[in-house]
Amino acid sequence: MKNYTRVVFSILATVVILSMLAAQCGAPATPETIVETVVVKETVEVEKEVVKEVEKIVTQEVEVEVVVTQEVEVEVEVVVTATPEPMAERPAAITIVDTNSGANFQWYWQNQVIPAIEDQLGIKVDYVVSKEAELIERMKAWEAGEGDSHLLFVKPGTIPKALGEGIELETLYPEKLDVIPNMEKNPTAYLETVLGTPIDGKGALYWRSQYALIYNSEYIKDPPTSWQEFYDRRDEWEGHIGIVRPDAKSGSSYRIPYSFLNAYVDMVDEDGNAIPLEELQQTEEWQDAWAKLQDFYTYGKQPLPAEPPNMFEDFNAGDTWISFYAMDYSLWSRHQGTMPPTIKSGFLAEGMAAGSDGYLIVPAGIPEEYKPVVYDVVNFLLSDDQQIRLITTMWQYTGTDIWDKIPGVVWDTIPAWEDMEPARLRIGNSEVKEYIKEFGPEELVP
Amino acid sequence: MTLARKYLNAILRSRKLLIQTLLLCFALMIFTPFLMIVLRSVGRGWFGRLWLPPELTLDWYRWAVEVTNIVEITKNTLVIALLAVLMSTVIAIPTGWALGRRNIPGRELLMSILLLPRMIPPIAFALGVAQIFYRTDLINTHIGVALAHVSICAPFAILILSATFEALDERLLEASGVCGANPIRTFIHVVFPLILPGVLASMIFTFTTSYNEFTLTLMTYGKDTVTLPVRTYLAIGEGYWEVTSAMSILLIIPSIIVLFMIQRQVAPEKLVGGFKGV
Amino acid sequence: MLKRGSKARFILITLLLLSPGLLTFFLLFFYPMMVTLTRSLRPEGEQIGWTLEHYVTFLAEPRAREVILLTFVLSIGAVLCSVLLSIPLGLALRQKLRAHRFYRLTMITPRVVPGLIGALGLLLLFGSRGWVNLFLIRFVPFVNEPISINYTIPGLILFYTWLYFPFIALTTLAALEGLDPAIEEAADVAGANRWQVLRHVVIPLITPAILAGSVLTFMAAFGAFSIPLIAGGNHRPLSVEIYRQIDFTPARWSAASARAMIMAVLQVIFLTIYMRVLRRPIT
Repeated sequence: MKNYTRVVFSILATVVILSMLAAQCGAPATPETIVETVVVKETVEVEKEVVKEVEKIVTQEVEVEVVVTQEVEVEVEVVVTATPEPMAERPAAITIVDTNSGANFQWYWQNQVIPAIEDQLGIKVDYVVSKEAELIERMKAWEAGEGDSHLLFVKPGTIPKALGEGIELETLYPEKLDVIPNMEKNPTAYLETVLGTPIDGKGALYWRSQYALIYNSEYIKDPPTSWQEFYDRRDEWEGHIGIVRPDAKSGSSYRIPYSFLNAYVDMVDEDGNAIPLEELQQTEEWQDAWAKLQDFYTYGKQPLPAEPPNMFEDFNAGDTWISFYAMDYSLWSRHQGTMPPTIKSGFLAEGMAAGSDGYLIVPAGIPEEYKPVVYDVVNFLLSDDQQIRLITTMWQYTGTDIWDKIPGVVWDTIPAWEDMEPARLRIGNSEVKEYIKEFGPEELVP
Repeated sequence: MTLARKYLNAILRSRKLLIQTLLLCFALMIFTPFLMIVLRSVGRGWFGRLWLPPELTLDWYRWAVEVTNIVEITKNTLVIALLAVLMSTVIAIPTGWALGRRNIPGRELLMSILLLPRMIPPIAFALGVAQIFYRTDLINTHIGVALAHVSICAPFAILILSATFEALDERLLEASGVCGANPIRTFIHVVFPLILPGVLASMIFTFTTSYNEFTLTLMTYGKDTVTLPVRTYLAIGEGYWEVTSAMSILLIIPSIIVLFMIQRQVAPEKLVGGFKGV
Repeated sequence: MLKRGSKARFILITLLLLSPGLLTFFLLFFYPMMVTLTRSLRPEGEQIGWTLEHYVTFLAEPRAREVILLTFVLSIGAVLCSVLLSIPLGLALRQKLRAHRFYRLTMITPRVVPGLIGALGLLLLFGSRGWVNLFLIRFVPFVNEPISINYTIPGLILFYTWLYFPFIALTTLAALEGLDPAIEEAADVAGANRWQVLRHVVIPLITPAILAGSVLTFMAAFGAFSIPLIAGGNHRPLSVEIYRQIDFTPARWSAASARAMIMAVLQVIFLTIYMRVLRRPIT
């Protein structure tokens, strides 16, 4: 017994000493890197100017002397010879923080996207999963120009929240079109507003996620095709409808009631502008729709699931038969075997909310020398090749409008975009969304 | 007579059987949750009300390893725990010695003040710790998270060590002095072996506390200091509990090793860290 | 002269020895606590000005009473269940039956593995398709529908008990093993049956230990955070309520701090009362 004590203690002591040594090795490294970055900063600035000037010359030359093709070629060569040297000074590694992806897309990032970035751009990527609130708190604490999360992949709601917290983001559209030419293929409406709030081109659209009716065909043979039908036939599925609580963190908390209300009330006018909530609440349609919504909640599986994972547990147990959730999640889960093979998705005619569209944003507070690298990565992520991989591997609608380039077999698995787009409901009235989140727990939860 | 004895024996034996059954039920209550995690992590197509998964697979483990940076997270957790153990022990040895071996007026009061961090819910001062760390750039550093852990690990270590030092027999030290040993020799040959089990116990318990600490980590972690409890929390929120289960199984292994060490080395009773005042 | 000098030196050394612990206490506990207190008195998001607004708004909400009540119900429920579990367990383990070392190991398992993983396992076990419900449906008459245990208050108490009973179980077991067998024998000789011995001799003797353990369980359950965070569903005790405030964007640090101070004060008050009661001799 005593001997054993000694052995264990000596092991512990060695580990402690080793970790002390390791800590000491780690400590002095920090000041050195600070010195290094300072040096890098200077050279990068010089180099950027050079590059910009060269670029200017090139574009000027091109514009003026289009006829003289030889001249252009010579100038292009200059660019090529000019870039390799400063290329060496570019940061070779960036950090991508992801607050949007579930486990399925985390797998996709880790296994498909990041190796591709490393292969094709030669940039090492540190991929980190985080949460929105934590990310925003960390960013608020950054010193200007010292941010350490260079490219963020976020839910649409994060952009207005970050801006509201005074965090500055780079305006990518249209200012950075010259370095991210692929953003041209993003639909402009998505770059101007999200969830009814203007974002002024602060984010690039990586993917479009779509909500749809999901149901277990083992229990439901003829699913509803519209919200009104869904509501009228609620008796058939009493206690088996999955509705996530309105105060959940997940976006399904407001997307379900918003889409439901949308079937009965117009919440935006013809120009797409939000109708003020007070005005809406005066109308009979709204009051009627709200009463129906309250009634609809009483037909849900009780207690209402606090977050989507709980709802999916109910689905797998056979307690919940029908719900409204992100299509990619349910399709992927069925494919992977984490949801029953009898899960199917369907259309609801009046409109189905857009899901958590994936936006790439670049905080202004990161070191300047990182920005060109990050823009390259954004441009790469929006390239046709990457976007096609996204839809063929993950069945997620692409952020860029390149529908004619997508292989036709994709549409055997998911509805074609031209069918989906008319039913796609972009949330345009942020007031209604906030109202649901704030008063939903009292008014809607039975 | 013999018949009566037989009956008596039978009753006695059945009573033992009853107790054994009760204990078995108890063990089941503790271990089935883990069994459920194991089953969930290797099952596929386990829907509806089935007792066992119809199909076995190791896919979720592959997925867990590919999605989460298991190595990085384990490294973070261990480095933070070791730093916290080291700091707590360094802090607790002198303080515990003073509390255990010196006559300090108001010793009980001092002790309960030092133990206050274990009485107040950690989330209350975690809020303050987070705000201080944001200001001082300690957020998202290993040493920062470890420091946050020290706030609850150190009181624990002080408690255990002061009890250990208190139990040292003064006469042994005197005897050693009488035999002509100088203080350093006394320490190495007499005191050190005596306090070793106590120090070891405190180290193991601070290690466990830090390894499992969630509240303070959640408030102070950053992208480079994601630890096991935080990653588990993030994964539970994402759905795909099959993958979460696989991840948990992979990350729980160090805890089990510690469990064995505790059983072998020290009385588990110390784990509760009781209050003398009560 | 020399004596006084050495005495001063002695005090100095004692203070020096105490200083690391005190420094840790002030820097890592007292100072953060003060930061939390100041934050709770500042208007949201500002560094100047004083206000009691956050306390007033929270305490004025009818929800506040619910939340505080829930926190107490959960922790006291967990303490009671743990006591009920610990006494038979202690009595059984005291007899040093076969494999008692294994059961001791079992007893401390919930305190050694990360609480979140335990909670995940419990969620899976008690879910509507978990083994417990399958067992109930299969073997218990009149149970045809799965019973919802997860995300209900009794379920949460069960989870708390699972996680926090070792405190009470260990102190109880230690006290039972420390009992002088002569006392029980004396009672036996005096003609008391097993039950009477237990009721009138053993239980009163181990009560102080049970109560001591119950303080620890209560404190842990009152401050519990990880379990209600993932297994609480719609039931949110104070700790989760605090976290939700900073999980919002923008984070409401002041509101969270005010709730945290309320929680800390409640706990201190409750513990003081509890300890007062405990010190009274139990008759």
